[in-house]
Amino acid sequence: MNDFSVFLGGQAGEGIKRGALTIGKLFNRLGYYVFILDDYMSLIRGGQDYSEIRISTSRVLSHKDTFDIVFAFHNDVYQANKEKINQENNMIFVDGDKTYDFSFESLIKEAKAPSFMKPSISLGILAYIHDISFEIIEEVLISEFHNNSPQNILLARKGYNLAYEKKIQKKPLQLREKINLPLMYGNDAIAIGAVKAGMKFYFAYPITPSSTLLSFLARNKHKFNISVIQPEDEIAAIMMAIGSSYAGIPSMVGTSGAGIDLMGEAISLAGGTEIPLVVVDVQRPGPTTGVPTYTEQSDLNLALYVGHGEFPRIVVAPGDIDEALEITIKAFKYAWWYQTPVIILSDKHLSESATNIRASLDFGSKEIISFKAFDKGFNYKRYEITDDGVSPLAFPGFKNITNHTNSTEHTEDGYSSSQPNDVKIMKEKRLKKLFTIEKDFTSEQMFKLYGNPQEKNLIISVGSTKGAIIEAIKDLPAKFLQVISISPFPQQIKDLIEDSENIICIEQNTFGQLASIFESKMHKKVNHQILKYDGRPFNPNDLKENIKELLI
Amino acid sequence: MINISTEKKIQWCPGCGNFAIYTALKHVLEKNIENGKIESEKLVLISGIGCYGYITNYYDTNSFHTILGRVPPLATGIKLAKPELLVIGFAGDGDAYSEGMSHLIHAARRNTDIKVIIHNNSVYGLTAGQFTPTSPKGFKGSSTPMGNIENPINPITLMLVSQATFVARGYAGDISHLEFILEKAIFHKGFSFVDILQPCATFNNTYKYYQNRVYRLEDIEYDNNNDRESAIVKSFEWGEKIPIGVFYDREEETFEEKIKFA
Repeated sequence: MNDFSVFLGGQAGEGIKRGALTIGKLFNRLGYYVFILDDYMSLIRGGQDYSEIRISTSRVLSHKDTFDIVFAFHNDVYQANKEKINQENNMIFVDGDKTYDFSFESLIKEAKAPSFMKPSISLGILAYIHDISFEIIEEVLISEFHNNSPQNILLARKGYNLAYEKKIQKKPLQLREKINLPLMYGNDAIAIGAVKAGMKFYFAYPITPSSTLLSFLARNKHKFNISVIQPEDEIAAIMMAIGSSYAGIPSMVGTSGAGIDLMGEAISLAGGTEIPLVVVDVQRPGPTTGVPTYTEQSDLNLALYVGHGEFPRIVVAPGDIDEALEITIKAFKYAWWYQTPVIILSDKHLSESATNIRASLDFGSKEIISFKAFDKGFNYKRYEITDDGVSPLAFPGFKNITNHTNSTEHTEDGYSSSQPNDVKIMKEKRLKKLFTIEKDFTSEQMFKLYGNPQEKNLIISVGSTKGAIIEAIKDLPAKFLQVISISPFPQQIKDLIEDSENIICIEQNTFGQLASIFESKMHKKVNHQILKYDGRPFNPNDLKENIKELLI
Repeated sequence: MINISTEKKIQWCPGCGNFAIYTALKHVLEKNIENGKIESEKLVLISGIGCYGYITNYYDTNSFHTILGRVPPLATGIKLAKPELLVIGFAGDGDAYSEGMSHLIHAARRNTDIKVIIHNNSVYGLTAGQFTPTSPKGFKGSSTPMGNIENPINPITLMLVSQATFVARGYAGDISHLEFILEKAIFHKGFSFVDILQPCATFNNTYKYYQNRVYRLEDIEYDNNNDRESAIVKSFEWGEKIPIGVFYDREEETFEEKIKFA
């Protein structure tokens, strides 16, 4: 049992997500690495939700889509997913099924417990199968459910006894040393990155799959010493963030694609008025309402082009949980140093899957944000012309500082002007800033190369596909280039791709957006594309087969 | 003598109501900077889009000339981030009552400690004369040559039912009264709303119309400004007589105060 997956399936309202996290924490506590994929529908009750909890002795960054132990609280969720059950050595527990002849429903009724506690029965069965001391089960349940733990412990006990009575085959786990890498969702990592960077306000209007970022920050706001504001809409959210930056206080805005659409004019405002701004887009399948609770990478072009007119911007896409934290910190650095919008592209798969995080969660006292502060004391010019296009920053509230920030084209001191020379000077200033960003990014390592650099087969991708790709190419003659900054596009990779004879672009959309960006920026053709657009993330096994067919 | 004017040449049509609003606020701010009640560096003036939007060029204070309709949330963000700032937003009837109307309502019900001054001239001037949400029925604008068919909104009633804690109407033809209102609005702790009836000299010259109708609430011993229901009833008065003055003024805990403990 070095690498196996537990399937936990039921209806919305049966505690699947929380149950999966609890199972994940249990195995984490036993020294195993965990990856949890939550597959849920856009419903409050009913439907067929499930989680895959992958458990492994080595670090895993993807789900498998192959289930070894199955707990299905209803027959329909079992039927819908049974093709993904491992054909060998599986254990299947379906409500009312003949094999073990028992019912989660009747156990819950017997215990007079609410149905969202059903997963605790599974926890008890797992304890029996894997010979896990019941004390550990109790410990995990207490730390997870506090006041509700007695009932959950009772249910786990019922599951354990049931497994004992039915003489279910045991599969003891090997004892492992504890790993101190907490299990965390991608959105939580983005949140912690933001707080580490110095974010004081989070402004967001609820939209799946970014709402979990909002609720995580709201739940922890006192601990993080921040304020979390839910305004009337996405436009108000981003305008408040712009106001906060203008006053000198770092903030962040989070949403999904549809929210970015609404924020377009304000993103242009931040670009033109040179306001630091960090925006998170947790992508989901569009267009329009699309498939709200599933995953896609179809906002690359949106992030690159949202907002009218021309202004410098930075678009970054973390690929795993550590990068979710680290790239968010960098986003704040960039936004405040260059005084321009930075968009962080995540997606449902990265943001709402849970895995072990290695990145440091310590808050420390180090100031992360720095900016070109105005130090002359008087005669402040908000848009002073400088060599790098970045003007000194000063905030309202200080003697002898008058900050004229202006959305109409302006003079150096921030007064409105439509004079041709002023217009030209300001446009060239912003262009100069773009060049500065592009130049600085040549030493920013916003890409990563995995595998043997000599390989002729090159896979390129961005964002959450990373985990599945790394695993898929483990035994294949291919290298993988992960692009982290989409804008500016890392120019250093030109050298890395020069010898590649077969370029395969992997992305989670229909049009191949990354491939187009790559081709236009690198002046090199992508030979093959592997595109997935059914809302479900790539799994390593299927992806490996897809890649194999295209290798030279 | 404090002078908060810049040297920029003011570019509004002769007879524009913006001059009166600009002057009234200038007097109130200068007086209170002079007597130490306002620290000039703590002032932030925000404007949206319209002829009036350029007003921030003419005051030598911190400013943010922003986009149409979004003055209230921008002001809220600034105030939340630095509560010691005095944040005054200018908006027009086009941005406050049309594209950004929801923001105004939500800022009011939150009781965010920002001041919102509306240049209400019932016409889009900068785009050459279209009707706005406050244009009367029958108004012939460049997009309604046969006359406006929509009912106008009543901003005073709207703000009262939205739980604004300071609601007033001013008139650009009565500067001294306007100064009286603006001073009260600025020193009100909480969300202050001042709708200013303002003629547009070029596209909607309403001087005569208002001149014959407006009267000061302060002249009739109106003492309902602590009672929201009576203020709402009073806000319906519009026709032969149009009341100007403070309809409602009552202090309550502000959004910024509450957020500290929320």
